[in-house]
Amino acid sequence: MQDEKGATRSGEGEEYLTFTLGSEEYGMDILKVQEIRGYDAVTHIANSPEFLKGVINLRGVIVPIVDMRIKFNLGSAVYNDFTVVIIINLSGRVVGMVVDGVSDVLSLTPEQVKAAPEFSSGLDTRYITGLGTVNGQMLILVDIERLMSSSEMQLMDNCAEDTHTSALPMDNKSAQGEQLCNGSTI
Amino acid sequence: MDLARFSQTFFEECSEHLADIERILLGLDVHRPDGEELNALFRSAHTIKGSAGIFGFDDMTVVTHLLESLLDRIRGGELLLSPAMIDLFLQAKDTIAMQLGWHRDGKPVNQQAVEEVCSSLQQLAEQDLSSSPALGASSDGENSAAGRAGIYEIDFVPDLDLFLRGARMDYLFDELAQLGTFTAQAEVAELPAIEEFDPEECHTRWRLQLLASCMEREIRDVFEFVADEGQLQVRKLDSTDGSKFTALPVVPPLQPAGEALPFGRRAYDRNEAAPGAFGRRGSETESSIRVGVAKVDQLINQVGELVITQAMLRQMGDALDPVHFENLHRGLQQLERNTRDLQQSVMSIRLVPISIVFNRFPRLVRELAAKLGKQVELKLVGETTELDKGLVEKIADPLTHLVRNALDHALEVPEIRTAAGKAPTGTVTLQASQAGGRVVIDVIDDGAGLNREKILLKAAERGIAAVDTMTDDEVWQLIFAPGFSTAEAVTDISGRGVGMDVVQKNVQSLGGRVAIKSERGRGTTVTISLPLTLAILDGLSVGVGEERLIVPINAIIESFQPTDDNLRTVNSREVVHVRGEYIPILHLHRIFNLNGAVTDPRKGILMVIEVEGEKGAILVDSLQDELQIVIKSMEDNYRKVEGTSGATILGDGRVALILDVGALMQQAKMGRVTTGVGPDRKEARVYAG
Amino acid sequence: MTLPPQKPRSLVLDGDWSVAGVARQLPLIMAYLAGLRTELSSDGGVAAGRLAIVLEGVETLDACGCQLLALLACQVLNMGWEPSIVAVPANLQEIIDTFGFSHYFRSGSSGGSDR
Repeated sequence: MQDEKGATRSGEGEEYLTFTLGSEEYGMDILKVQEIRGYDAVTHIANSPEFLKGVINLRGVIVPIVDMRIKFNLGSAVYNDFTVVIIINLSGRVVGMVVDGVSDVLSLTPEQVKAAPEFSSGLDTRYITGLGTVNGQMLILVDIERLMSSSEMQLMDNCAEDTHTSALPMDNKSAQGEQLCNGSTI
Repeated sequence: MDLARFSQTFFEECSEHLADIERILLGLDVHRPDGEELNALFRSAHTIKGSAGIFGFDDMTVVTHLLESLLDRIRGGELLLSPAMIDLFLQAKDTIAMQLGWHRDGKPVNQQAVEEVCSSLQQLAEQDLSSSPALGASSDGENSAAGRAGIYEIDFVPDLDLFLRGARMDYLFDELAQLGTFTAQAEVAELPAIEEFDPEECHTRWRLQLLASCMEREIRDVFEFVADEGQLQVRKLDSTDGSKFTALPVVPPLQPAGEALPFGRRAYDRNEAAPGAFGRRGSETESSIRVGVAKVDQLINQVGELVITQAMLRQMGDALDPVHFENLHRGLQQLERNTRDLQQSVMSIRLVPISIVFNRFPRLVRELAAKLGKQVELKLVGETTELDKGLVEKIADPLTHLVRNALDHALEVPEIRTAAGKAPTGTVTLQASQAGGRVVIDVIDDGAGLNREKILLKAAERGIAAVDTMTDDEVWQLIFAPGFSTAEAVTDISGRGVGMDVVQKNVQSLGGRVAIKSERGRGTTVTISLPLTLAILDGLSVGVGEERLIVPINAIIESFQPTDDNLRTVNSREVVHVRGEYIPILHLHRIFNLNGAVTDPRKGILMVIEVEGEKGAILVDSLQDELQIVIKSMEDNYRKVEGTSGATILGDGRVALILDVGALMQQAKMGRVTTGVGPDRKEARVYAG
Repeated sequence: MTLPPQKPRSLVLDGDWSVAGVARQLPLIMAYLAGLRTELSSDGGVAAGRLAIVLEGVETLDACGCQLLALLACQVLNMGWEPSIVAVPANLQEIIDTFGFSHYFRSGSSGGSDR
């Protein structure tokens, strides 16, 4: 999980966990995935954005749960026995992410990945590292660490204070110091 | 052998000795110094010197040696103590501390200061050498008072770690040889089995016979670094005739059961907490063991997990038929008691007396008072109050700040005090006490008090919202506002100023709160209240809508269901009338945006809470269980949630937020002060993420 | 005594017998003692006799080392052997005497030396 190979690794194929949000298929670095689990009752957090469903107790650790379907207006946010939560571990920080479904684990060679053009998707292109094509289907590759530590997710303190104005270096836990919140919202 | 691994202990002990030296020096009555305290002073210096020598910290040895010899002469009555000497000794102590800092952390040493102190000490030694009549006699060992030769029988039962500490027995025996002639007999204790024997531990005890013309004290000094008081027995044998010594029979073998030998005290037991290291501090040292804080914290966390598991088990057990499962229920109750006891014991490990912080103030006050030309008496009250070690370390700075402020700005110079009809000597009191689950520290001065008009004026200048109609308490709150206090504000306003916002921020980061009371001309009291510990809390779980929240029990006064008769609206603010008091109602469901909650106070329950004298009534749907909960950080994976001090995991595995009642009340109050609008909207505003 | 006296056995020690070295000496001693014990218990075994502990090769010795030597002597004695130290360099003998350990060994039993 601490493996920082991420998007820069070249050579043999990289492994992605693919998941669906609405009609789109996404992929994220499988090394960032801690586990996949069902949706439990969450504890509501006061005055938090709607997509932050609350927090759960994951074996004694308190973990926030975000619903990407609400965040990006994709699909319908229903919760039933089939609702899936991907538990992501970003350099020790744990976040749960609700998606419509988890499809597969795929290996993509660099040739199968193309740069992301400006296009209209639920996700801001800043968090997209590229587009993959597998069996004729398009896969949107997400920089999950960058997305989760962005100010718009409001998952961290120093981003949270003024979401609408400043550009502060954030995420003191992650080594990715170059990432900046620039506070724009979708 | 490699001594580096022991040096950490030396550093710690050395710091403690230096602190002792300072404490004793400051407490000494110059004209009638207490003999015991002089001895303790000497012992501390002596120990530092010896240990520093072993580690090769010669620079420290030089200064300490000068200090030690002077102290030795003072305790021997050869040298009369003077106030100037105390100042010089304090300087010497600082110098040694500076040298310690160099060896420990590589902090720079001001060599000039070292030389100055050394030469001052030297001067003092020489000057009194010429003037002190008593000196000639006792500096000369041969003619000393205890000049007659005698035979001493010495039993030495060292610690298990004698060898490991790097104690050089050959040096010790050499020193003994300088006192006189001696024979030694070593006795290796009975051991369980050679397989379990640790060859580096000392399982040997010694009986020595020494023919010498010295005082018992000198013998004890030889053993200073290796023996606790209880580990060394020195007896003078009847025979005082030196010639008999050689005719003495061979030292009788030491039998473990020998009645004459008080060896029994020291069990050769690995479990006995062997006091850590170098430099014994004499009999007052309690048997103790040094453990890294990280280890203790790990223990505390594990016990926390155990408490949660226990709560889960209890909840499952409660669902079972009490008749059929009587034994299980009894077992679970037992488990609960045991868990609680365990938790309490574990938590108490981290508690330390606040005197650790308070002890720095006599010196600070003394020096600052002299600098300011003020007469100040410092009173310390409740120094034994215990609080978490982590808190103790962090509360020192805010407290220093407050004490400095009190001296610098609050207390008047003697002339003004006299003119105002007060005693010329001002008093600053540091008072610690434990109230419920909190530790309260008051910094009280009898100075001029805060100046309401100037504060309002200053607030206006700084663009801080303030109105003349504010109550005194509200005005005092202004000085905590960020940006209120600047260096120039200090001189203008009688009283506090510098960085009160910083003080408040520091204290709040520890889960504490600052309150201020002041009366013109009579003085000011700043009260810091801190949680006893950072990790565990007695709470009551309450239901609001679909959620459960935890209210710290120590904040709760009472709960009741109100009727129309006690509900009022004052200044468009809902209040409840309880025994002549009007208490504002806080709607938790509004503050936390909770759905499905009771909104009519008559249908829910009002829980009256009190924080630092302020009361509020929070509206909840229902009261549930009283729980001992483990505080979990929300910041690990998320961020701080306003109005809460963290979260916990309940018996059913769900997460519940813990209310920060102090913050709730303060925010509600601030909301009113700054906006002056109806309560509900502003609460929402204050808490809006 | 029905058995003829045995030829004295000897145990040669060397190296560092200070607190820094005792941890390395202990296993050797334990192995040696175990060997002695086996010999005694085996059939037609050797009767216990004198055991000479040769100190010639010992380079450093302190109180901690003396303690281990004394322990060795006690163990040997418990097994029925008679320990003695031989070939003791003068400086080592002085250390043993000064620290008061000489009574554990048959040689050098003259008691403490005056210093």
